[in-house]
Amino acid sequence: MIVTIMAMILLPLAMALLLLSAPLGRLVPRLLGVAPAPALLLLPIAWEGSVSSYTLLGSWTAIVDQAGALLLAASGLLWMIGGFAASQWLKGREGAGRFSLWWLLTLSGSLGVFVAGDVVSFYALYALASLPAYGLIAFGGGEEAQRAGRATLAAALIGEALILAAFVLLTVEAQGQGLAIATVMHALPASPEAGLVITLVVVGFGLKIGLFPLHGWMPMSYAAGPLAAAAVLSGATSKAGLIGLIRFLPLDAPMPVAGGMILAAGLFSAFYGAVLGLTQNNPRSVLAYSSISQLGQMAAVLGAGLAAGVPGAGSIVAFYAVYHVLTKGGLFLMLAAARPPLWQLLLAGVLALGFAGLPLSGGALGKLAFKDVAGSGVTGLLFALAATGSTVLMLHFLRLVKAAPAAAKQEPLPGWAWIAAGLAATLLMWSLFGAVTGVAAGYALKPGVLFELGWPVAAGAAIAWALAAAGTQLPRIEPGDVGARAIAIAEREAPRLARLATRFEIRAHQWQVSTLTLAVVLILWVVLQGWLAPH
Amino acid sequence: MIPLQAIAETGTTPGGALLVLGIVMPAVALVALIGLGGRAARMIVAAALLFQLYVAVRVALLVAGSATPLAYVVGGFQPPLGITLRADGVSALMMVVSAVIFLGAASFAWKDFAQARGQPEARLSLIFWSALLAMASALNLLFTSTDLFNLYVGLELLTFAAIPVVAIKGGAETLRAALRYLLFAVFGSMLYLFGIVLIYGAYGTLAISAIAAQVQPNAATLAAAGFVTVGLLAKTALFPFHLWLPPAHAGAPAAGSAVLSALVVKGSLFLLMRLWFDTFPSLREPADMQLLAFLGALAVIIGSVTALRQPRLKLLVAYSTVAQIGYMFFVFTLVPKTAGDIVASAAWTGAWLQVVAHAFAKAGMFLAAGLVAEVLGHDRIRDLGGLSARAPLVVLTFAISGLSLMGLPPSGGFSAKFMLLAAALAEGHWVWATVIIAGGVLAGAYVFAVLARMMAAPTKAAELASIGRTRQLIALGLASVSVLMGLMPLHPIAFFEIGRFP
Repeated sequence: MIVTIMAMILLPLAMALLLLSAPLGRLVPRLLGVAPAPALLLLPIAWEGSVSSYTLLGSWTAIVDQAGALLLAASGLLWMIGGFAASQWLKGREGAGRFSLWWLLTLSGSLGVFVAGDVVSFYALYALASLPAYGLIAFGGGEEAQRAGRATLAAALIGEALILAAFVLLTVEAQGQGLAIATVMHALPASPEAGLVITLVVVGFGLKIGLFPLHGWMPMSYAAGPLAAAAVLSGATSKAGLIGLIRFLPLDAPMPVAGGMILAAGLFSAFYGAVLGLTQNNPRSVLAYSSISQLGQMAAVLGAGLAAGVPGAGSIVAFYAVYHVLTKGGLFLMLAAARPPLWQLLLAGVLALGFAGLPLSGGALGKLAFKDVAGSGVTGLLFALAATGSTVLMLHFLRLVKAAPAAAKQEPLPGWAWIAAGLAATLLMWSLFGAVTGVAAGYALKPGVLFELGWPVAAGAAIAWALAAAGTQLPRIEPGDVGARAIAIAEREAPRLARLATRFEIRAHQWQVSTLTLAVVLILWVVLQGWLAPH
Repeated sequence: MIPLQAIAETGTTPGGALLVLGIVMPAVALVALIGLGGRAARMIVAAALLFQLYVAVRVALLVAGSATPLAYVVGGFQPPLGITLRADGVSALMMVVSAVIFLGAASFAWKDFAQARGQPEARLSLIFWSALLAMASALNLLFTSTDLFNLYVGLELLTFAAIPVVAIKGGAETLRAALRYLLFAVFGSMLYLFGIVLIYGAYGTLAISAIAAQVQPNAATLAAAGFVTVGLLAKTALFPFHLWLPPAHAGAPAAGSAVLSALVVKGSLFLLMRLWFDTFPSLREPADMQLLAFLGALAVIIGSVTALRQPRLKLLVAYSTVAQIGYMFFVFTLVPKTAGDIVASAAWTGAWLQVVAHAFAKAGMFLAAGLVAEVLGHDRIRDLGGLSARAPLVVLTFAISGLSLMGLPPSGGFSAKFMLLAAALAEGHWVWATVIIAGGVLAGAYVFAVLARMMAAPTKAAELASIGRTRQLIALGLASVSVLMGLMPLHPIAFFEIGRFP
């Protein structure tokens, strides 16, 4: 097992190192699909409920549990499908080596973070999953791509900073008993800093999952990079934020206030993403808003789990995420197909409406699993309404795909890739349902259940039809909406602040100023020492 | 632990003579260098530095083995009459670090400062090699001296050996940088000297142990401590006394910059720590220590932002040094007066890890920056495009040095930052904790800004010079040490505590 885990993290890094050598390096872009292979060896663990931990190297440890294994299985498959597709796209392309480097680095972190067992390795792998994504997004080199890359990088760096603060606080609160996630989390609920740590965790990882109002970079970056990159970033690496929430929210200790706030924030994000997504006319932006909405729902379930103290909430959210990983990745890959035939559109439609819980789809099983944590009362109704929102949004997406001119789709990715991802998503969901929920999958076929799942979708379809029939024109809003506004302000103000700092530095740089400050510090020093000190 | 008084009674410890060798051997080699001339220079330097590494490692092993400091009473005269050399844990640490980096820098410069056969001797190479030896000797003197005047000698020797390295390229700009450095350093020395004169007047001794035993918070001592400290701040280039550092470090040849940024600024910092943790520990006023931390915080923020806005790579790396030095000043406020608890140890370990990790990362980064300038013929950040295809090892070196400067694991920079942060948060120093974290974000921004340019498609076809593989590997090797440091377990390191004055 240790060997498998090490291979999973190190194989992509080793391949990245191979890029340094000229003859062998040329092979690497052709083998991107092979890089995530070791992750598939861990696939069976997704069906088991067991938790095991391993020491990798020094104080670096790994933890393999169901939540991690579920995310790993789906992400590993997506990286593999995306990798084969990217290899084909990269053939003969300028900068294939560069793209492969960023790809492999992100891949290593993206898969490794699901098994990281201590705060240090988690921090390292999380950074690896986040920072090199810059290169994937900015790959095209255009002004928009670079801008999106910068915004993503800034969000990642700020997220890292908040997470570091949370991790150090956790370690301090655990009184030096160790760095293992289980150890530091055990001490959290009783700690006086619990509120601060949870805030840092939610904001830090919220930046990664695009929780409102931290979502601005997401539509920008998913619309910018090559499609293969957008597929793995939206499908797999965004789940690094999800595993962060699963690992670093104390789900076994009921915290009604914190949990309730996360639930509310997540549900708000779910509706916000669905509504704002309707104002977009680029299918990639629509998918990005759908991610904001979907990940918002996942955060909401974790919030509900935290409020009630449900340790199993992690596995349940990870189970739903399996569908999102592969299907969202698959839909991005589908955008490469020029004028998909009708049967492909229908298939895409079924997959996309799975996000809304279309009965019999893989996504429906995820929604059913949610019920264990947040199924009843007002919360349950809100989740159903979020599904209605998803339906409207996904129908909007399908209309855009159908209407988009062929010329807009210029990235030749193999046509089988997205179908493979969609099928894998559906198969995994059906075969995993029993293992995760403890209820046979046949439950999803009961008439009552079908109705429960079906009415939000039907309502959504009706709304979409009514909107279309009335010819309603929704306003067009810039991708990233208020977030994009915030990014634009930061882009304007940050250089100004930097100039200010530099001007200050240039002033301090002058002889007279520097020597004068020296005298001032000297006097201040003596005064502070002699005057304030209680000698 | 043996306090210094006890050493004075027991005298020299086994292996103590190694400390003398560490100081004298480079000096002897220096004399031989001048006597035998430039043709033998490189060989002599190589032999001397290898021997120095041997001495440093032996010292470290002896200190670690006995868990007590090494000491040598020169000529058998006890202080205050005679001079005692002493190596505690951090002295031994710094001796090893400096020996390794000197060797790396010397091998990097091996070809650049060669003396071609059959041609008249060039003065430049002789100057470079003798300056290197003088710096090595001076640093060991600083690391092992136990009396304030001896330390002053080490400090001056270090400065005067460093200045020719800054000026060696000639040219108006580097000469101006060297002059600036000289003037500011002399200014700092004056203040230091004035301070120790006051101390001598008050206590009649300059031996650290003797002063520590009888220190009184009277006016003379307070003024003296102030003068000495401020003088050393000027030499350490703590913001806003850094005006000399960027032009000096950016103007020197790559191997010189590496040594200056990695080691030379740490010499005066080492002395400052000797002063406040060993000589006047009881005078550590929280308000004053906060002042140091405040200047450190300014250094971190302003230094990093300024680095971000530099158009040239070497200047960016130099400003990054200004910022990274800032972190080291948090130690003064984070180590509380009552030593011995876990927080104090975390801060102490964190500060030394920062010193060491920065030394290796910055040495690697300056060497990489030198190679960049050589490959492309310039070091304009804007035009670095295509470097990754042409010199991937250099880009890799820059990236892994950057990892440590940003404080991402696995790296010594991360361990250092984690420990400092843990100490800051445990003590409720929220402001300093915020600065440490913000500094990491800013470092991430300037490292990534450069990496993104290096990885970008070439802007225009340019004539590219070729660089040897050996030098690339040397730079990579030094940078890798900073990453390997990150594999050490993340808790206070007992070795750093050996022989701390009680």
